[in-house]
Amino acid sequence: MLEIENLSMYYDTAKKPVKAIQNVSLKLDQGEILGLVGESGCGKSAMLLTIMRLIPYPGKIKYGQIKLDGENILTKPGREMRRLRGQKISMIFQDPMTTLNPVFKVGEQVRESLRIHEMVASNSSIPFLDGARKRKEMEMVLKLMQEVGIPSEESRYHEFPHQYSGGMQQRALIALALSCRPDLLLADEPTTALDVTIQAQIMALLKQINQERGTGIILVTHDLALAAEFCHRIAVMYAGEIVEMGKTQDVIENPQHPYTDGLLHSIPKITTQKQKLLPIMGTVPDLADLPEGCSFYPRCSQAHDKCLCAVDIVELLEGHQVRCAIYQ
Amino acid sequence: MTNPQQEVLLEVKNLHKYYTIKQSYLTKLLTRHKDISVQAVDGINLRVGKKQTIGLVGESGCGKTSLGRTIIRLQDPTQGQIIYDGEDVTKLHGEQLNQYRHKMQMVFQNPYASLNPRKTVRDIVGIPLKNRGVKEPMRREEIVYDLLQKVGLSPRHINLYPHQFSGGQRQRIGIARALAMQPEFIVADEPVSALDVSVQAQIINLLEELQDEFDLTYLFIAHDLSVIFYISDAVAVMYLGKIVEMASTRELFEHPLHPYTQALLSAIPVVDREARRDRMILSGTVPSPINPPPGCRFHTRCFNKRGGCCNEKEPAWREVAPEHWVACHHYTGEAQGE
Repeated sequence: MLEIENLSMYYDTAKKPVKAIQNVSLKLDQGEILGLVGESGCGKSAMLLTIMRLIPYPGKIKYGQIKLDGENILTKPGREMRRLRGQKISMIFQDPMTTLNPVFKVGEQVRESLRIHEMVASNSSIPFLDGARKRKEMEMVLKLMQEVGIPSEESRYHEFPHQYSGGMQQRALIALALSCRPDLLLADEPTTALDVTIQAQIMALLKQINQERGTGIILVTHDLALAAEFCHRIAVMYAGEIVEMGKTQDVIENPQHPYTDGLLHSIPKITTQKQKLLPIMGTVPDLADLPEGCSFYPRCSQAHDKCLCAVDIVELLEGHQVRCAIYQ
Repeated sequence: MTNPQQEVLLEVKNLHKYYTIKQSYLTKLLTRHKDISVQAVDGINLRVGKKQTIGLVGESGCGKTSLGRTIIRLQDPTQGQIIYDGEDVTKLHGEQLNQYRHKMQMVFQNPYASLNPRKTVRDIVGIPLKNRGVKEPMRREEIVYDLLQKVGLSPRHINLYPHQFSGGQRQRIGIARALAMQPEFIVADEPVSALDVSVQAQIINLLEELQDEFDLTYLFIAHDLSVIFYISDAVAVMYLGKIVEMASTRELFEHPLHPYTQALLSAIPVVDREARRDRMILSGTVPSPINPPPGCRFHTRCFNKRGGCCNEKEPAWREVAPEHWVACHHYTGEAQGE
C-alpha cells in the first residue's frame, strides 16, 4: 500500500544540511503494523511528517519517492494533498494536550474534519446552513467517540479539551484521525505522555482498529518492548537511516545490527536471572555532522576499518535487512 | 522494608502531606465552599534499611514525588513522623535541619530544569561544598575534579555551562552535585525517565556503582517498572497517595497480591515473548486526589471488588506473608464469604 524508495530529507541550515532522513526505503502492506524504533533525534518523527508532507521549513525532500497505492504523492499539488491527509493517511500526534485546540469543543473539532472532507453531502442550496447535514455529522461523531471508548459521548461532545484526562484526549485524537476512514494511520509516540495502565488501553484500542478496519499503522516509538508486542514488523532507525528491518520476531530474538543488539541490552528485563546492563557508550551524533561511513561506527563495539566506507543495506534472510559492514 | 536484623536508616510513620487550595473570601461567603485540600500523601508507613534501594512506583499524580520531597523536608509534612537514624527529624529547624539535609540529597527528574543555566559546572558542584564547610578554593577545585571523574565526566568540563551538555551528561552533573555533600541517603526522583534508552542504562549503572562505593541508600522513584525491577531491593507501589503493596522486588514481581500491582505488572510491554503476562486492562483513570473515593481508593477501577466493603471501609495495612505488606480487603479476611 505504502512504498517509500530511497527517501532523503534534509533541513537546509545556514551551515551544513541536517540530514534528518537518509536513503530510507520501506514498504507497508494493507493492514500491517510497522514499528519505527529509535532514540530521540534519529529521524522517526521527521519520517512521519515527510509521509504526510508536513515537513517544517527549512526541510526539503532531496531524493526519493513516496508511493501510496502506486501513486507518487510527492508530485501532487497542495489541494490534492490536503484531500489525501485525513482520507487516506492520517496522523496521531505525541502530545494530546497540545494537539487539540483548547478553545473549541472536542466534538466540534472531530466534526470539522468530517465537514472539510465533505463526508456528508449536502442537499440544501445553502450548504453551511444545512441543519440536517449537521445533525448527520454529529451522529457520526458520536458513533466515532463511542467506538474509541469515550464514555457518555453525548455530554463529552460538548466539553473542551481541558475537561478530558490525558487518555481521553488521546482517544479523542484517535477519533479525529479515524473520522474519514483512512487506510493508513501514522502514530507518533501515541502513548509516551500517558501512564502504563492508560498506555495499555490505548494500544488495545489501536490493535482493535487495525483488526476491525484493516487500517495500516506505522507506530513511532522509543520503547522497543512496546513495538515488540504490538507490531508485525520493526524498523530500527539510527541517525536518519534504517539500520535493521524485519519481522518483529527476527529483529528482537535475532538482532543482527550491533545497535539493535545494544538497545536490547540496555533495557532492564524482568527475569529471575541475574543481569547486568550493557549500555551503548556515547550519545547520538549530531545530524549536521555525521561521521564518515557508518554513522554508528564511533559507538560500535564491533567497529573495524571497513566501517569507514559507505554501507548499504543488505537482505540477510527473507525480509530481514541490515545495514552493517560486517555483512557486506 | 528490611530484614529484622538489618539496621533501619529511615522510618516514615503515618506521613500525610495535604496541599490546600484556598478559595477566595467572596467564594466562601457566597457559596459556603470551604478550602479544598489535595491529599497527595495520605498516611504512609515506610522503612528503609541501610544501603538498600527502595523503588517507589505509581502512575503520575499518585504522590510519589510529594513523598520524596516531604521525606527530605523540602516540604513540611501535614501530619506524621519522619525518623532518620533514630532521630525524629519532622520538627527540625535552622541549623539542625541543615545538618540533616547534609545527609540527604535529591537527584531531580528533569536534567534540563534542575541545573542553573547561568552557573558553570564548577559552581554547580562547588557551592554545595562551600556549604559543607570546605573553605579553601583549591581544595574545593580538587574535590570537584574528583567528583566529576566519579560520575564519568572529564575535568575539562569544569568551565562549561549546562546547555553545553547532553541530557545524560546533565544528569551526571546533578548526581555529582548530590554527592558533593557526602550524603548517606539519596532520593532519586525519576532520574532516568527523561533520557534515551542507551543513556538510561549508563546512568542506572553509574548509580549502582556509586552505591557500592559510597554505601548509599536510595529511594528510587520511577514509573518504569523494568527499571525499578533492575535497581531495587524492595518495591513500594503507590496509588492515589497511599502505598498499596510493598515487598522485596523478587516477591512483588513473582507474587503480586494487590489487584493494582497485578494490573500494573501486566500492563508493561515486555521484549521477551515467554515473559509476557496476560494483559489485564484497567478501565478508567486515576480519580482526583482532591476528592478520593471512599473506602479502598482503588475500588473504582478494581476488577476484583466486592460490594459492601471495598467501597465503604478502608483496607488495613497488613503483613500477609513475611515482609510482604498489602492494603487490600481480599487479604484481611473481610472480603471473604460474600
